[in-house]
Amino acid sequence: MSSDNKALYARISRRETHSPRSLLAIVLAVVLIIVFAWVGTEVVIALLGLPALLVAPSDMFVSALGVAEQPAAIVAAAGIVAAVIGLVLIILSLSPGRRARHVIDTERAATVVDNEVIASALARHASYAGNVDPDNTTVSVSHRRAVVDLTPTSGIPANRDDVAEAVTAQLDAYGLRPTVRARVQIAEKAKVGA
Amino acid sequence: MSIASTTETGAAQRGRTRVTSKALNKVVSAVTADALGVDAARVGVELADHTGALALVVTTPIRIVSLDRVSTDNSVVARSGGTILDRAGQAQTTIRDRVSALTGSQIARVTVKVSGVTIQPEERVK
Repeated sequence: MSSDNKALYARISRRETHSPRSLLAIVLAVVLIIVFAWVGTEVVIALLGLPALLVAPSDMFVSALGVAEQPAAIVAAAGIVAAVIGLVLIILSLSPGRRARHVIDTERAATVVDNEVIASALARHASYAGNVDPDNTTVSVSHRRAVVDLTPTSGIPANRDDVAEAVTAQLDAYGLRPTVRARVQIAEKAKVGA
Repeated sequence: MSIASTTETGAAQRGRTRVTSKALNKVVSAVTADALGVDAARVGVELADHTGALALVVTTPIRIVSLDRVSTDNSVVARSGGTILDRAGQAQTTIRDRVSALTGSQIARVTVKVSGVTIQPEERVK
């Protein structure tokens, strides 16, 4: 495989496993463009001495400075809303924005697999290894961890080591990136006749 | 069941065998009826879980010899298998062993509730 392809696949994998911020960026840019276009228009209109569209620029500055004189409750509420919006934007911009997907190491293609797919594959093997009904097997896969929950049938104990071994073997065979570690939990209380 | 799951040709590799609670109920009531000499239809079974093993509660009548016979000949009690308590106790062990052997389930405890009697005259050996 050429290094060209390698770089290409790495880029594709990254795009597929991370959420694009383009929608958010476009919305923010459009909002800002509209606001600044309006302010610019108001300035030009004020310079020409025509009546303002919505608010004259001088009134904008006066009212902005006079915020402190407004009722405290309204000002505080508006401030909190603005702070929350700002905080959400900062978190969104700094968080990794990972999608619930993993990359599988393959030679010839960039392969991406949904976490749900990994989970259902693991659930099948776990339920066979533990001799537990597939309906009583739950697996949740996150970025670095797969949690296998088994509710055994009353009278037929499930061996945790067997399940852990089977699940780990499967995970090793998949070759996921980043690697996923399995944790097996067997419910204390079993189900009758399941 | 580690044997089923770990070996290459174990049961878990071929699929899964599931014994439903209905089937368990029937097995338990049949075994109980057999152990106490009563009609299986009159045996009530409750299945519960006890930290992963089965807990059985069987409500059953028990077959006894008539009191007239006991009052005339006390050895009848011993011949019919002991007192009601003795026989219920034996039935617990029998139920545990046989249900476990038939269904492959681990059984934590067996509770036998004697809810009635069926009076059966001793039959003369022909």
